[in-house]
Amino acid sequence: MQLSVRQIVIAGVFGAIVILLGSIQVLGFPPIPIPPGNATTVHIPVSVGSILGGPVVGGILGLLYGIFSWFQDTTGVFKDPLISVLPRIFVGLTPVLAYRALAGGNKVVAAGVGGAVGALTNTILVVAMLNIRRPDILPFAADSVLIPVALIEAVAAAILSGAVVGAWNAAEGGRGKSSL
Amino acid sequence: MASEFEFLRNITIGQYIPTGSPVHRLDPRAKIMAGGLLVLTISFCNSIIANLLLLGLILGIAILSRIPVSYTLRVLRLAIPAMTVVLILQLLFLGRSATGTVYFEWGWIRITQGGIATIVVNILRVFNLLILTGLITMTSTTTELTHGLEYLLNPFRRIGIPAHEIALIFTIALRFVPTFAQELENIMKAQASRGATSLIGARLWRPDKLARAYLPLMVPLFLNALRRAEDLIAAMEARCYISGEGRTKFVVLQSHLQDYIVVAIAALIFGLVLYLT
Repeated sequence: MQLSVRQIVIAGVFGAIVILLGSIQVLGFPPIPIPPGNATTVHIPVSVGSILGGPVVGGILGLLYGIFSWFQDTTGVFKDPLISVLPRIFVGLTPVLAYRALAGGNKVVAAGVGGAVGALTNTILVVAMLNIRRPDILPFAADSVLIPVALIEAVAAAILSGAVVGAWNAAEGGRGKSSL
Repeated sequence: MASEFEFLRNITIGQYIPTGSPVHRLDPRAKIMAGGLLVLTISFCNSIIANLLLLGLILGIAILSRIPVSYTLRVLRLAIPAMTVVLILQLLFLGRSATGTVYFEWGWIRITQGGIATIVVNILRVFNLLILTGLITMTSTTTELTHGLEYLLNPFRRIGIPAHEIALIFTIALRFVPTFAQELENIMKAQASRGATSLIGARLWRPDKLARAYLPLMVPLFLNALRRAEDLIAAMEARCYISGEGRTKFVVLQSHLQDYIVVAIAALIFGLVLYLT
């Protein structure tokens, strides 16, 4: 598997944002503390990184997100790599698939959908693994409690991903275009 | 007043404490492998006594690395609020499948002896894992750990795992974390001075309000990151960087006898636990 310089650097740079956003939560920055690692925003650099860099970059970013959340966990629940690492790899793969499926239309909307898909993948897969591996903390029956939060997260992720990709396309795509 | 924005410059990924102990001088590959084996051992231990023995072993390693034991235990203090929540959830939901004498029953909530034993084992297990991972980061720099990781992943190149590229990605990520922390702090101050919605008072259950609070911070952060990425890409390509076979390293890891001994001991302990369970 050969990675281009562009892919390496994008993965590294977005990985830095993942680590940064994940560390802030520990210091008591935005609430909603459900899965550790600042649930509301940490998956966004993974989604945007996969959209801009491709599935390999997304997979590596998901792996980094998973390992970092394994590391940051203080409850013992996420010390199980099947709960913290494995689902997060898919968080890096699904956004780019959704984006490429819709990229024929409006790219900003496609990126927004990609971001929402990433957020939903994160919630659904992590909750599923928690149900399977630790039914003593989160049984199947309690899942419905998390649906509102998951939807809020997905909408917020859609807005943020669309905004970032739109701004980047405008900043970089507009360069070199002349109106003359 | 400034402290609201300046906590960002104190972000650390595990605090490295240089004491020059034998544990610090171990090859990072040995530390990663032995640490991994011990983590697996902890995950497989189901009895209170085994976990207490492992706790003793880990505290012994802490003493050997000349790190004050009170400092190693400090990480547990941060864990207490989160663990209390998990404990309560476990107490409530564990009831049905647990065995032993029933201490308390109310509706579908049932607290049994078996349930409490499971919870105690979980607490000890978490303590062990936290102190162990804390020790690994306290006795090795992140650079060492990345080198060790690359060497350990190298054999897997034949099946397509890009070991060097992954190590480089981790290195780039770690290099940029303080830069982006500073950047985010500047952005927060700039937006606050322009009267942007503060995250502290935001109504976080409405997605549009949530996005509106995050947008002025996230978009400039990401765009800044992407611009730095473009600069780095141009710099690497200008120096004809090609990843892949044939790259040599400036820092070459050399293993000594003590590294093999440490990994062998960890493997023995793991084997023993597997055999007994």
